[in-house]
Amino acid sequence: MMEKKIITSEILGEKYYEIKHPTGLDIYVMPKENYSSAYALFGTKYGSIDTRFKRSDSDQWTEVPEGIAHFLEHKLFESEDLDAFTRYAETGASANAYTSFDKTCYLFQCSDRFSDSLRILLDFVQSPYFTPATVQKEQGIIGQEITMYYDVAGWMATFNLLRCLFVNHPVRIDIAGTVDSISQITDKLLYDCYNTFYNLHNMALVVVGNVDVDELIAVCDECLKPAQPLSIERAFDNEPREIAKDYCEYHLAMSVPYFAFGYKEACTKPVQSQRDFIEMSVLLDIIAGDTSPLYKKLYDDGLINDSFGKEYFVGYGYEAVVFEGESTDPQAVADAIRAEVARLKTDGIDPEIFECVRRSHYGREIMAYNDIDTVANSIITCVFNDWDVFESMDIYRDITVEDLENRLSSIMLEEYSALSVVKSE
Amino acid sequence: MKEYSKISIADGVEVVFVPADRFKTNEIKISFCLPLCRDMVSANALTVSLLAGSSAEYPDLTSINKRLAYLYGADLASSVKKIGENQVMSLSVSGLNDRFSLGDRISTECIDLLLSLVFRPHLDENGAFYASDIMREQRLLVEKLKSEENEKRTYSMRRLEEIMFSEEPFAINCYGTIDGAGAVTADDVMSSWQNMLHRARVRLVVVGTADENDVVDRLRSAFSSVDREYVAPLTAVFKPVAEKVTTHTDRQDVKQGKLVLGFRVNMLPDDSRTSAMRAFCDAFGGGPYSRLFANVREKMSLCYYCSARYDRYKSCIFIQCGCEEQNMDKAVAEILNQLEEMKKGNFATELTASRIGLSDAINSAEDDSGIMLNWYSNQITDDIIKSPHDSSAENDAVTADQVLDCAHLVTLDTIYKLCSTEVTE
Repeated sequence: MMEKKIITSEILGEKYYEIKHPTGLDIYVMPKENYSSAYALFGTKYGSIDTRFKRSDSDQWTEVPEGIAHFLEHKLFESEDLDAFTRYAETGASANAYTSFDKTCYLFQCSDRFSDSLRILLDFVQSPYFTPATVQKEQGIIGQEITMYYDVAGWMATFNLLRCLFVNHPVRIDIAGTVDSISQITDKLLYDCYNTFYNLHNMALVVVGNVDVDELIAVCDECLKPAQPLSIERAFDNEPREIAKDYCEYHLAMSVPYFAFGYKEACTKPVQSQRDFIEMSVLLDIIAGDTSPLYKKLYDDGLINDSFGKEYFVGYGYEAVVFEGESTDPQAVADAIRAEVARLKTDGIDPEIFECVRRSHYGREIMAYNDIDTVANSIITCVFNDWDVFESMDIYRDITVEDLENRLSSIMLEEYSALSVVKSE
Repeated sequence: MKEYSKISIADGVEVVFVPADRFKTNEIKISFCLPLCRDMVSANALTVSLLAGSSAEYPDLTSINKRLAYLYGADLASSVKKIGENQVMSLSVSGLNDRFSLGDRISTECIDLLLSLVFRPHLDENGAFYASDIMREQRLLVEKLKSEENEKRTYSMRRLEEIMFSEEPFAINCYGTIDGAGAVTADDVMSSWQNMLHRARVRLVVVGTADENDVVDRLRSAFSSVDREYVAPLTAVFKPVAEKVTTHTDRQDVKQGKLVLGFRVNMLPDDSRTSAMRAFCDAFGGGPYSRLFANVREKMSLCYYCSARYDRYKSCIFIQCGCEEQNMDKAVAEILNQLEEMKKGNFATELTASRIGLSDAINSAEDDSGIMLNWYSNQITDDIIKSPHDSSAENDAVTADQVLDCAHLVTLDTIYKLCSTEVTE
C-alpha cells in the first residue's frame, strides 16, 4: 500500500509530496510552477566514511577498503551492454553522480522526456555489473582522479587538517581513497557493498521542478524492484576526543599559501540535529562572517581575501569547525580566530550583528528555493539526517542570542585546534 | 510573457529586462565593456572591485555587508571577464523578491545600492580615490593573479593563451599582471571609472519581477549627467588558419600534468554558421557522448578529463586535458585522429546526442536565475540578442552537412604542456 502525504510551507509558497513506495523506497517530489525542467536525484545513504558496518541480518562487522563507495559510483554507470551515459544521450538529459562522506547520489536534469530519463536512472542504479576486468580498468582512471587532487591547494589543506583533527575516523581519508586502498577493491567487495547499501530501504528518490506526480509514480511502479527490509549499523566508537597533531604543512608550486584551521568538537552523539546545524552556521557567521569585526580586521590587515570561508563540518561520528582560504600569514589568521573566539566567550555576542546574520540567513534560505538542484540536494540531506525539510524557517525565526552564547561556551576549545598550510617549499 | 525587452537609454547604454515570476529573487547586473588594452587592463580590473568595496554612502566593506545582510542576505559580486578582445567589468546584486520581504521594497533598494556603488564612489574632499582603498585593492588583485597560478587548470589555459596569441590582444589576462596591479595610481582608477561611465558599452540586465519602468528611470537619471563618448566593442583579430603547430612545455612541481590544445576556427563571430560550429565542437569533445570523451578518456584512458570548448568571439576551439606526461603525445595523436574521423563524417551518433543534449540544456537554463542573468549579460558585445529559445531553435536546425563543413575549418595551432619537474620519460 502506498502512503502519500503533502507537506506545505506558507512562508516559502512551496509544497512537496512524501511517498512511501511499497518496494521500500521513500520518494519526495516538489513540483515547481512555471519551471520547464526537472531535476532528479536517486541517492543512497552510503559514503566514503562507511568502511566498517554491520547488517541487521548478520552478527559480523565488515571492513572494506577506503574509497570503495566512490569506486562503486563510477562502476554503476557501466552495464554489460550500454553504459548509462550512452542511454541518456538518447533522451538528452544532463546526468552526473557524486560521492560525499555520507551519501552517493545519481542525478539528471532535463527539460524534455523526463519519464524516459527516470527509467534509465532507476534501471542502471538497480543493475550492478562488475567484473575483474572492468574493476582493473577503473583502478587506473580513479588513480588519475586521486592524483589530480594532489595539486589542488584547497583540497589538500582541508584533508590535511582532517588528518590533524581525527585519529581514526575515516573522514580523514580522501573520498576517492588512495591509490593503494583502491588497488584492494575487487568485484566481490563491490557486490557486497552494493547489496548492503543499495537496498531501497537505505535510499531515497527526490524530484524537483516540472514534474507530474502520478506519472512519476507510474514509472516507479514499473521500474523499482522490491527490497527485503534491512538496516545497517555504522561504527561509532573508535574516535578519541584528542587530536592527532596541531600543525601540518604540504608543499606545492604556488604563490599565496592556502590554509585550513579548525577545531575538533566533542561529537557526543552520532548525528547532530537541524537546530544544531543551523545554530552553528549562524554562530560561525557571527564570529567570522563578512559583517563581523574579525573579518574586518583580517581583511584590513591584508590577511584574507574573498577566498576566506568557514564551515560547520559535521556527519556521522564527526564534528568540527573549519576556517579556510588564502593568506600570506596563516599562523596570524589562526591566532586572530583564537583570540576572537576567546573575546566573544567573555564579552558575549553583539545583538546588532546577531540580527543582521539571522536576517541574512533567513533571506538566503528562501532564495535557495530558486534552484531545483539546490532544493533537491537539500531535501536528500534532510531526509538522510532525519530532519524536517521546512523546519529550518521556524528555527531561523526563534533562535536567540542566549542559545548561541550557551553553545559557544562549550565549543571551539584551543587544545583541540589545528592548522594545516599548503605553500611553496 | 515576452522573453525579454531591450530599452536604449543613452548612446551605447541599454537595459535588458527579463520578466520571470517563478524566482524568489530579483537579479541585477550592470556590465561595462571596454577594448582589451595592456595599459588599462589592471586599472579596470582593480576599479570594478574597488567600486564593489566602498561608496560615498557605505565607506567600507563592513558597512556594505551590513546593508546587504539587512536586505535579507542580498548578494553583491564584482567580476571581470574577457569576451573576444574586450574586457567586461560587472557588478551584480541578487536580492530577495519583494513578495517575501514583509513590506520592504528590496528590489528598489538593491538597484539603488548598485547605482550608488557605480555612480557615487568613495572619494576624498578633492574628489580623488583614497590611496588606502587602492592599496587594499592592489593587494587583492595581486593575490587573485597569484592564486590563478595555484589553480593548474586555469594556469595552463592562461599560458596557452599567452603563447598562442603572443601577437594579439587576446593574450592579455583580463586581470592584467602582478606588476601592472602594483603600478595602478589614483589617476588610473579615475580614468578607468570615467571610461566605464563615458566610453564603455553598458548593459544593465534584470531578471525577475522588478518594475521595468522604475529601473529604466533610475538608470536614465543616473546617466543624465554623463556626457557619453561611446566606443563600440572591438572585433577580435581573426586568424583563419594556423600556419604551423607550436609546442611549448613548462615544468613545475605538479603531481598531474595538464595538456591544452588551441585550434584556429575559420569562421567569424557573426557568421550564420556559428551554431553549426558549436554543434561540431560539442559532438567532437563537449558532452559525455562526444568522440573525445568516449575514446580519449573512456576507451584509451589517456586523460582523466578531456573536453573541448568553442570560443565564438575569438574564432578558436580549446581542448583541456588532465594527463600524465607519458600519455601526452599519445593523447594529442588520438585527439587529432578523432578530428580526422569528424572530417570523414563519422559523427552521426554523437551529433544526434549533441542536438538533443544541447537543446535540453539550453532550455533548462531558463530555470536558473543566475544563468539567465549571465546569458544576457554575456552577449554585451553582440548587437543582436538571442534568447535561450532562439539558440535552441538554431541548434535544432543544424544539419550533418553543416557540421561536416565545420570540421574542415579547424586547424591545430598550439600545444601547451604543463609537466612535473620530475621527468617521467
